[in-house]
Amino acid sequence: MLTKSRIQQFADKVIKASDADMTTVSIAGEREALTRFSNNEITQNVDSIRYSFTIRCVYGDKVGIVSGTSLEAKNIKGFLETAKQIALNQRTGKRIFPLPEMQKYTIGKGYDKGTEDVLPQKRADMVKSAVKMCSKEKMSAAGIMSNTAIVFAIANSKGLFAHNENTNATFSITAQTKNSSGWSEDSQTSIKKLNVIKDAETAINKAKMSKNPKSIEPGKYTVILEPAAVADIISFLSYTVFNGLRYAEGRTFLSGKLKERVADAKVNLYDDAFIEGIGGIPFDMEGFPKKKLHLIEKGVFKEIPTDRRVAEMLKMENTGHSLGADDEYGPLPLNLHIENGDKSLEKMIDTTKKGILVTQFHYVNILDPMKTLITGMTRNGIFLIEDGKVKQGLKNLRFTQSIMETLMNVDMIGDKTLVQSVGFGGGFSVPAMKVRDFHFTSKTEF
Amino acid sequence: MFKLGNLAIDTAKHYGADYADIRIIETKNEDLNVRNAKVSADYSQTLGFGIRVLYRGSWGFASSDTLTAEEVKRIAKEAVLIAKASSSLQTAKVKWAKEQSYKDHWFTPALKNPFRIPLERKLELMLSIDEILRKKPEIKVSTVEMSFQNIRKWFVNSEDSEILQDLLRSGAGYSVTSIGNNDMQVRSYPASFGGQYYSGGYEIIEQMELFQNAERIRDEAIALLTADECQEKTSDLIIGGSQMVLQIHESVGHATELDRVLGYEANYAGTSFATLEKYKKFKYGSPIVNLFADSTIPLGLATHGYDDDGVRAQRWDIVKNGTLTGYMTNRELAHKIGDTRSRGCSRSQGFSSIPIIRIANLSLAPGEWELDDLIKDTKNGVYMDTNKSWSIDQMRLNFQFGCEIGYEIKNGKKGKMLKNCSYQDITPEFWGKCDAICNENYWDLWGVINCGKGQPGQRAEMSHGSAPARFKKVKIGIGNKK
Repeated sequence: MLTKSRIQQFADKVIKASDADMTTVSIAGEREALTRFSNNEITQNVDSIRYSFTIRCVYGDKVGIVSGTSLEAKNIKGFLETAKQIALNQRTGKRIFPLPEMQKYTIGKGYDKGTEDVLPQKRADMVKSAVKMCSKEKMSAAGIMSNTAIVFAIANSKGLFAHNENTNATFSITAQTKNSSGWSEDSQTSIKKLNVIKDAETAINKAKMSKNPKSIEPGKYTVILEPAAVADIISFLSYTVFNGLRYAEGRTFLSGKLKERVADAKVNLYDDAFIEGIGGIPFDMEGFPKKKLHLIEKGVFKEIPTDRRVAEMLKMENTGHSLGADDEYGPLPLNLHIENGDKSLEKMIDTTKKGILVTQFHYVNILDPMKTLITGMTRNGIFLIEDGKVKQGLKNLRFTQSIMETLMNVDMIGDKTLVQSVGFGGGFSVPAMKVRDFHFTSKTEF
Repeated sequence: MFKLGNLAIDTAKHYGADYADIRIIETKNEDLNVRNAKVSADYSQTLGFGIRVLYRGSWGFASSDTLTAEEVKRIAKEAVLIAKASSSLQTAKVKWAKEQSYKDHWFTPALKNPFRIPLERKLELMLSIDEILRKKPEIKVSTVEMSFQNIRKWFVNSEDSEILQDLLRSGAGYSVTSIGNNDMQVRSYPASFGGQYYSGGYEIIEQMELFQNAERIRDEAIALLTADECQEKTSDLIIGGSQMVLQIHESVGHATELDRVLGYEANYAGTSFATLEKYKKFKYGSPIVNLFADSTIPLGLATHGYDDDGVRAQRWDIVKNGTLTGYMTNRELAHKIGDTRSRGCSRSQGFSSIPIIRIANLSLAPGEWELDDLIKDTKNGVYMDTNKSWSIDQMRLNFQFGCEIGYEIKNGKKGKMLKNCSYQDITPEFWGKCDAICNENYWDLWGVINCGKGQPGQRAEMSHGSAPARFKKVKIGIGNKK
C-alpha cells in the first residue's frame, strides 16, 4: 500500500491546487488478496489493489463533491474544476459548518506488514491443510482465506490530516455432508493469529452433529445464540436503532427513551473503535476523534452517536461519528461491542431444559424499524437442546423477532467475545447469549 | 487501449498462461440526492484493468488502477503466479466452453446523454418534487434521487477477441417517511431503494412521470399511519409488478445461477434447491409460469453485447410452462449441464473484480388477465406492492418479503389500505400457487442495482420484467396480530 507520506503528498497537492473556500480530501486504499475454495479445490484466487479519493469543495454555501480512483497528480485539476462546476451550478445553498483544525488521535495497533504481504502459495497451503481434513471425513469444503490491508486518510485546507491503516486476515470454512453443514470463521489483525486447523475441526464437528436433521415446529423457544449469530442480529442496531439522525427526527425505537430501561440489566453495549481486531478507525469522516460511547449501560439507554448537526439538534456534544460533512444518512456507531458475561457456552447448554442452539443466521433483514422487527434464517448448524444436552441437529428455521425484545429477554451472556471486522471502519465484538421466547415463525426443507 | 490489452495477453502467455483475458474499464457516475431540500451532488470516475489467466486449468486474477505498459506487464505476471498457486489444489481442470472471437463495438441505445443534461435542469425537477413531498407536516423526510452511469469496457482475450462496449444507465426515484400515530411509514416511487433504473439516456427520466405521482405517494405515506395492519392469516395474494421483481430475483434468479447450484457459493451467498437432477423435469411452478432470461432485451440493466467471458448476448428459457428448463451459465461451467456454449452470464462489478455468474435480465412472461378482472375474480385477498424487506434461506426455498403498501380485496372489490404487509412461502410451492398473470399492458421491466454476491463481495445490476400476478392461499402478515 502507499505510504503515509505519499498519501499526504497527494492530499497536499489537491488542497494547494484548489481555489475553493474550503477543501477536504479523503483517501481510501485497499489491498485485498483472497483465495476461494469449494468442492475441495481452489476455484478463485485474486489480488487487487485499489484506491479512491473524494474531494469536497465549498464555494460560499454551495458544495461540489467529486471522486475518482487513480492518485495521479495529473488528474487533480480536472476533478477540481468538475467540483467547482457542480457547486456553482446549484441554485440553492445550504448550511456549511467550518472545517475542523488539526486534532489529536489515538491510533490503534491494527496493522501488520506480514499480513499485508502474504503470498498466494501461503494462502493455498493454509487452505490445503483444512480441505485435507474435510476430504478425510468425506465432506465437501467451501470457504475463503484472505489477507487485506486498508488505509484511510482525511486532510483539509485548515491543516487537518488524519491517517489510519489496519490489516485483516480471515479464514472461513463450511464443511458439508449430504444433508448437513457446519461453519467456522476467524478474523484477526495478523495472519499469525489464525488457527485454520481449529476452524476446520469446528466446522467438521458441527456438520457431523447436525447430520440427518429433524424438523421442529416453529414457535417461541429459549435459544442459545453463538457469537456469530449475535453479531448477525446486533449489526442491525447500528443503522436503525442507534442512528443519531433517525433518533433526533423521532424515527427510531429509542426516540424519547433516553435514560430509560430498554434491555436486560446484564446488557452493556458500547461503541468502541479501539477494540483490537474490530477494524475501527479512530476518527470520523470529517476528521473528528471518535469517542467511546456507552450506548446501553446495565440495560439503560445512555448515549447516542452524533455529528455536529445532530449534536445541535439534540443539544448534545459532537461524539465524532459523522459519515461526512454532507451526509444525510445520520451518524452511526460502527463498532458495536457487547461486554462479555461470565457464562461458558457449556454452562448455557447445561442449564437449558428445552431450547435451540444456533451457530449463525442467514439473510437477516429489517421488517419494521420502529419495532426493531427483523427476520432471517438459521444456517450451518442448529441443534435441539433437551435436559441440558445437545440432542440432535434440526432443519433450519425462520425467525421473526424484535431485536430490542431479544435484548430484554437475555438470561445469560457468554464469557468470550468474537471480534468481527467488516472492513472500512466497521466491525463488531459480541459474546454468546442465552435468550428466552425467541420467535421462530416458519420452517424450511433442509 | 487494445494495444495495452494485447500486451497483457502476450505477457501472460509468455509466463505460461494457457488462456488470458483483460478488461480495461472506465466508469463515470453522477449521483444526485435531494433530502429535505438539501442538495448533494457526487461525480465519480474510475479507470483500471483486471487480468484473468488459466494456467494448467486453474485460475489467477490480478488488477490495478495504474494504466501503464509496465504495470500491465507486472499484473499479467502476478496473475500467472496466483494461478500457479491455485493449481496446487485442483481436483479437475477448468473446461472452457468454445466461443467464436469477435471484433466489435457495442453501445447502449440512448437518445439523450444524461451527462450532457445541465445539472440545474436535473436539480430543478428534483427540488420541485421535494417541495410537493414536504407540503404536509406528517412527512419528516423526503429523498429524491437521480443516478447515471457510463461504463466503457475494452475486452481482449487470447482467442483474438477485441470488444469495446459503451454501457449507459439512468435512474431516478423518491421516497417519503411519514411519522405520526406512534408509527413510521415509508412510500416510494416508482420503486423502493433508489427508484427505477433502465439502460438508456435521460429520455428515460422524462418518461417516468415522477412529478405527476408525488402528491399521491406523499398522501399514501400519511394514510398508512392510520391504516389497519395486515393481519396474520392465509389469503389469496395479488402481487404488483415492482414487488414481483424481488420475487423473481430471489426465488428464481439466484436459485438458477449454476455456480450456486454446484456449491461454489456454499460458504457465503449459499447454494440452491434447483439441483442438476431437477433440470428439465422439476415442476418449478404452475403451467402458466414462464420465466425467460434475456441479455438483449431493450432497457435491461444486464443488457449488453457480450459478457465478461466474451460471449455474445442471448435469450433463453429458465422455466417453461412451469418446468425448470435453464440455468445462468458461464464458459467455465456450461459443460456441467451438457451445454457446449455458455449462456453469457459472466459479469464482474468492475476492473478489480473477477467475473462470476450473475443473474441475467430475468422476466415472468405476461399472461392474459386485465387487472380489474383479476380483482373482480378474487373473493378474499390482499394486493401488495413495492418491496420494503426481503429474506430467503440459503437454498432459496423459505422466503419472507415485506411490502410498503397493501389493499384488502373483498368480494371482487379493492377495499381498505393495509400497512406492514408481508408474505412467506416455500419457492416451488409458491410458484405452484400462481393461477393468474396480468397481460402485457401491465408488464414492465424493473431494475435491480444492488445485487450482492461473491467473495470478495461484488455488486451487479439486472432487470426483471413482470405484470401483477395472483397466488392462492399464501401466509401473509407474518408476526402481526391475527
